[in-house]
Amino acid sequence: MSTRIGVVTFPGSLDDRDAARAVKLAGGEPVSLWHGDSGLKDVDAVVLPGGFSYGGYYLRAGAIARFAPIMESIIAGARAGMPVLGICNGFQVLCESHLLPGALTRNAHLHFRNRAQSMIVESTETAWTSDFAAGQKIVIPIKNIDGRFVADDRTLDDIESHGQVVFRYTNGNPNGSMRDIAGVSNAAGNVVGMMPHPEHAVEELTGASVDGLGLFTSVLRKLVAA
Amino acid sequence: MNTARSGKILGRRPTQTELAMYSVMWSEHCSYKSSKVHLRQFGEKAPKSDRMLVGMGENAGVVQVSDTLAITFKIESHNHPSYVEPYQGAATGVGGIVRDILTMGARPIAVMDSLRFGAADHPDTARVLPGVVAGVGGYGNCLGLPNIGGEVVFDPCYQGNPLVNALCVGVMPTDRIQLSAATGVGNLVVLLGAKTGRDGIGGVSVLASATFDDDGPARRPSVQVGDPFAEKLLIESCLELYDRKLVTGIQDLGGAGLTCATTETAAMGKSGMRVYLERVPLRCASRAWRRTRSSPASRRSGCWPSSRRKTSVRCWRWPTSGVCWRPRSARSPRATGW
Repeated sequence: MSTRIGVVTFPGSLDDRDAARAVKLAGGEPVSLWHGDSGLKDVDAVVLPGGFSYGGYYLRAGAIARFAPIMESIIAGARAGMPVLGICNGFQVLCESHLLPGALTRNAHLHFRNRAQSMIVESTETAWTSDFAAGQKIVIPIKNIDGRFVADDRTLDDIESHGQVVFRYTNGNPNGSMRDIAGVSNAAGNVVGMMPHPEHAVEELTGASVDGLGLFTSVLRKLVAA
Repeated sequence: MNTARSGKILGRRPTQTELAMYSVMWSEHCSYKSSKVHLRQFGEKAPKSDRMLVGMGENAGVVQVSDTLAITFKIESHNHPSYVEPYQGAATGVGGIVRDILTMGARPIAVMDSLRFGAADHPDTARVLPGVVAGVGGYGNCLGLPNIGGEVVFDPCYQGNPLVNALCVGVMPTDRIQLSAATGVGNLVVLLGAKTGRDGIGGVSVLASATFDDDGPARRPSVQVGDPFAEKLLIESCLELYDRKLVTGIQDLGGAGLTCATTETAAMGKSGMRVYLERVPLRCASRAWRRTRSSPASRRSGCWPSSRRKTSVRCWRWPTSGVCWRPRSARSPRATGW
């Protein structure tokens, strides 16, 4: 039986279909999860996709989605070790849910940025990055205006010393994120959030690269082995 | 169009609402009264092809690209609103063209833009350009639509009259094409999407079909304010309604709002329509009905579904506001319910 990976759709989610496609291309079975349900349909992992959940621009991005019925089950699952990946708005939701440290604020230059972004894989110890090599340089598209990762110095020192910085921007920081941080994980390594969009980098025809597939193959390999 | 002329057509004194309807429908924006003669050539001179599934007269053309798939695309200008209020003007230009693609039955997949500004070093270009670029990019991004290309030219001849054109392309199964004729006596008419507000009132007559001078009244309130979140919900709701074959016909609400959407579709279906303006969900409760009639609100669509219960279930799933009117009337097309 193939591994089931849930993709949550909030009102205003934009990349849920792309995320489901990426799961399928990586060899998993994508399962749609609806924001208003509380059941997780026996999925083995969950992806929170990009977009503007509940119209993200009305309030702080992710601040409303955090209270969606489905999030209660996801937060409980994440605390019990279920792999969860938050992409862009999904990352914002995970920070708002306190599953990940720090917060995402308006880009330092106040402009929307959309480009193929170079990054370094800093940690291969997470559920979503084991298929990469430490220090590997990858290219993944970014598209955000609220993508600046911020935290106080103590938190930043803490996550750096515990290997919770998963990706770091290279060849130019696109949004003023502190210490060039593009993605972080929780202490256990099962929850990862990132601003770049790996689901848009899974096919030669449309992606800047196919480097995004690595996140999805990593989690599938881990789940099959478990 | 004045009171005397509209009175002559109706055979009685027009009501205030009817006068407002005549005013917006007689604008160049809605009636193409001076450009129709040129535009007609697109239909007459187009080479005949089996692949063109829908041609002139609907919201957008549809071209078959495989045995099962068709694409639809259209480009439209939003020049005057973008000159008056660059960000919202350009943003709602994108919103409008996306809606046209949606009402053909397609899922919008990408946008493009074609822009003309005055001299690059002119101060007014510096006022207009940043807002237009941010408006086009911001609205498309909020709908998840990549902007796959564009072009820009600077020339003094566009000083005071920049051109802002937005294109949208969508894809659909060939059997999902939707048309706008309101047919079927007794069918319900449903208004879906964003609540009706005071923004953009009369935009088609005081903005789109007018010239600007420094002494004129402030025109900024005539530009509507975009709400991409409401449009995103409208997209998902409509696509689910199409897939469940609940829609007989659909028309988006453009610059002239309910006036244009209801009258044009009733005319295409050769029937009348009873419209209860007092039931339209309003953003601000104090609005007069005649304003309701001509408010554009580009995140809305009217559709005539075959099942009211199922429609309300689909729209409840996506938190889209809507209103359902009584069965359509077979009475004289001129019968009005207000």
